[in-house]
Amino acid sequence: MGLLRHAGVAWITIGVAAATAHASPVEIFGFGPRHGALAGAGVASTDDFAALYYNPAGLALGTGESATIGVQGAFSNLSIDDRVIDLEDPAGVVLGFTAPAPLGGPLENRLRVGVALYLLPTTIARVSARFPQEPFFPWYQGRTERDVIVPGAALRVSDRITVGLAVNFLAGVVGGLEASEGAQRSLVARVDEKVPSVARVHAGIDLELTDRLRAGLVYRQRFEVPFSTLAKTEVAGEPIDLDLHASGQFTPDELAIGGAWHDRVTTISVDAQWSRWSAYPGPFVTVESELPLVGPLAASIPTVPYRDTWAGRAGVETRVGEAILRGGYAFETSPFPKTQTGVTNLLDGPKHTVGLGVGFVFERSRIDVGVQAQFVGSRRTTKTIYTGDGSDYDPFTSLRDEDSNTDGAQISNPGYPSIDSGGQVFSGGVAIEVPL
Amino acid sequence: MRSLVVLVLMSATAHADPLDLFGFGAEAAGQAGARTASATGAEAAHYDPAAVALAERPTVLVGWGAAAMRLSIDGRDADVLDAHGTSLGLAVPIHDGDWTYAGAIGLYLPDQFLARIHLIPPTEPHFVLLDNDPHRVVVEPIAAASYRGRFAIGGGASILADASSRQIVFDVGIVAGQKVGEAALDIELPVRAAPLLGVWMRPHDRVRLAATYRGQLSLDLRLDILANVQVAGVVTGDALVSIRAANYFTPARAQAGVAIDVADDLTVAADLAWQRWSAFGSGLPDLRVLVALDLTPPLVSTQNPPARFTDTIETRLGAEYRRAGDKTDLALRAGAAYLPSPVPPQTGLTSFADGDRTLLTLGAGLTFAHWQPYLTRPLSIDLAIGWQHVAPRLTKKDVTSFPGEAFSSDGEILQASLSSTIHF
Repeated sequence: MGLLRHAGVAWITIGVAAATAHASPVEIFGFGPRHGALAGAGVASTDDFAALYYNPAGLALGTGESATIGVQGAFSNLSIDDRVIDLEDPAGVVLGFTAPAPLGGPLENRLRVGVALYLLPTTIARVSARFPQEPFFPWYQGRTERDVIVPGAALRVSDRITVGLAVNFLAGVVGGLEASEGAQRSLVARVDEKVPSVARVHAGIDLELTDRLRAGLVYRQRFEVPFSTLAKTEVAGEPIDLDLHASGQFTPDELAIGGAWHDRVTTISVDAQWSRWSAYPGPFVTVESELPLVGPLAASIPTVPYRDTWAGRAGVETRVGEAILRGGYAFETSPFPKTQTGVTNLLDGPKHTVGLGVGFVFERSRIDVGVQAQFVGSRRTTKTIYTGDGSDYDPFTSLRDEDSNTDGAQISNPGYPSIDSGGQVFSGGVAIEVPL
Repeated sequence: MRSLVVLVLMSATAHADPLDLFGFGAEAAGQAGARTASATGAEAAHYDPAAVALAERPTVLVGWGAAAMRLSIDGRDADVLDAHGTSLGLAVPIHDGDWTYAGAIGLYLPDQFLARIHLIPPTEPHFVLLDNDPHRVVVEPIAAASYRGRFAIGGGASILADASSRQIVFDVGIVAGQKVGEAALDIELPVRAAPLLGVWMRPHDRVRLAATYRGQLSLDLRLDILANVQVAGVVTGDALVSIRAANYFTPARAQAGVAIDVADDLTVAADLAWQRWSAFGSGLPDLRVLVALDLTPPLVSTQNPPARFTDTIETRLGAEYRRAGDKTDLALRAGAAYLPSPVPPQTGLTSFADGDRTLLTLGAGLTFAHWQPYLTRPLSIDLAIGWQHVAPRLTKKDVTSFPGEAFSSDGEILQASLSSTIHF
């Protein structure tokens, strides 16, 4: 486990940053074009490198040694009012490697190892926390701005049961600096910022129920990239202290169950997934400060009632000659409240995903091409003005008049009086899998 | 009233690659790292990019190493963190007729953190190279091609990440008569990369030659923390804390190596490496605090003196004796290296401690070559131990230009590593 943990962390700097991101790019667009075309369905059927994400137990269902390389990217047509929102770092490289452990005797063909990577060309990860009133799509903006590194292993326990374990890696930034006037009236500082590793588990089991029917269950542990820094500076006897904490790349605890039916030419996969978004700490930054003449002050953060989400996914693969045709559909509820009458403007909606793709088999290699469209439900968010005396004010439920000495409601929140959102996100990619 | 004060402050770090210090895998560590011409497969990802294409099968290297940093300043413990971490390598060859193409990656992962920006005031005596050197991640992805096992060429990158802020803003204002703070931040870890190039050839069945080049690399920290205060009637303006720090400076390096099979069961190897430490610059990061609030701090800025490091030439020698068995092969290894210090006499502001180092190593390995049916491919387990002696150095300040106390430095580094190479 320790070695596996390290294995993934290391890849963070390969080849190869966030509006607070809430998962990973592969969770949104699929891990490679094959799984994008299947709309992410495959808990009980994925047997290639991507099994390390979808269900590590599936890794043990593969054969031989193989390497996969590909690219995938996304394009946003999401809009806030009439303004189209772009995704940052929308494209990346997909890499995968799987092989059986070189063991014989009773362990022959029982243990397989692999690594699955999604790498951005210029950055490893991005952590950002926005002002509470800033309108943005927290489900999408940032989810494509992170490397995904998942090494793992799977064991065939019996002819019908396989289990697998993978580790989801990245790194954060924590630490701080202290500075004060030195003997020569220049600042003397000590800086100690660390880049710790972050490692979370994916664990799964796959059961062969009949010759044509499989079932799978996978748990993916909550993942986030921490950022914190404490800047303690003393200038002319006055403190300038800022203690900041935020996390990005948040993925909640997830539990998914799937079934798959297959014959010699066709595989049909159906998944259901629960994601524990209610534990989401939010896309905001926590700050405690002490500033000259201002004194101690903490940033105010609204309390948002995030909700657990449910998703259903279905995918079909069928072989036609040397080609493999693929299609998929998925639906997922939104963790962000539809009604946001206060400070926040967390834009989202229920999502419908449609995927299409094709694979071409030549010799022992396979080229996969896939596209996907996600349709985000339209929402109109309307604000409410607070009319109380201030004792019961909740920034999530209403907006305050910012200047009561001026006639009318003086409100600078960009979502006031209302804001419209919705749109589509399109993605696609191509990859080749080569036997070794 | 607005006033502006700029403060510059200094601390220093200069670092190299931890795998240069301790070796990549116990097989190399046992030969003092003299593996430029003899490494193949996953191990070659660090020693010679070209030689990863010499792998016959997919190969994985898994290892763990530790070093006790017994360094002292003025006879007291210098409080340098011990190093320990995991090495991982993967080489995947694809054979196509006379040619073999390969992709590989070499990794070193310190146990305690992936990297650390650790800045100590420059006037405080500290081991500028060894204080933080061993504590960073190493990532080296490689691509290579070889022709008939006689010639190979390869390239890749040694990769690090910076830590930088696009924005860190804390706004303080008055809303409905109450003081309110709001914050936003946007941090990223952008990739930094230095080129790795290598060429390898076998001009004679018993002779292997190799040459490699690695570009310069460092990890830069750029954080700008802005507090914007708009409290009418009390204070308005802003304060900016700005950190700029370059850490883990790893100089450009050109290296050549030779390995000779002096007998069927004995190989000797030698490496020579030039490292361009003179490009280190001042090596002094700065912290700036810009205050535009209603106060006038009487502070001054400080000039950064250049570090004036000197280029170094390192020499490494290694030998390996092999004895084949019916099922298990044995290897015994030894190595020595002389690693001169790039740090000049510290007569001025800075008090960088360092010293020339002498390295002696021993190693042994077992290869379970013929253990079918339990092992379908060979599996090796290697162990190495090493001793680095840091030569004593007495530093005296030039009292005419910079009054300061003299200090002495010396020490030992005890290292051990264990690794396994698995063929798939």
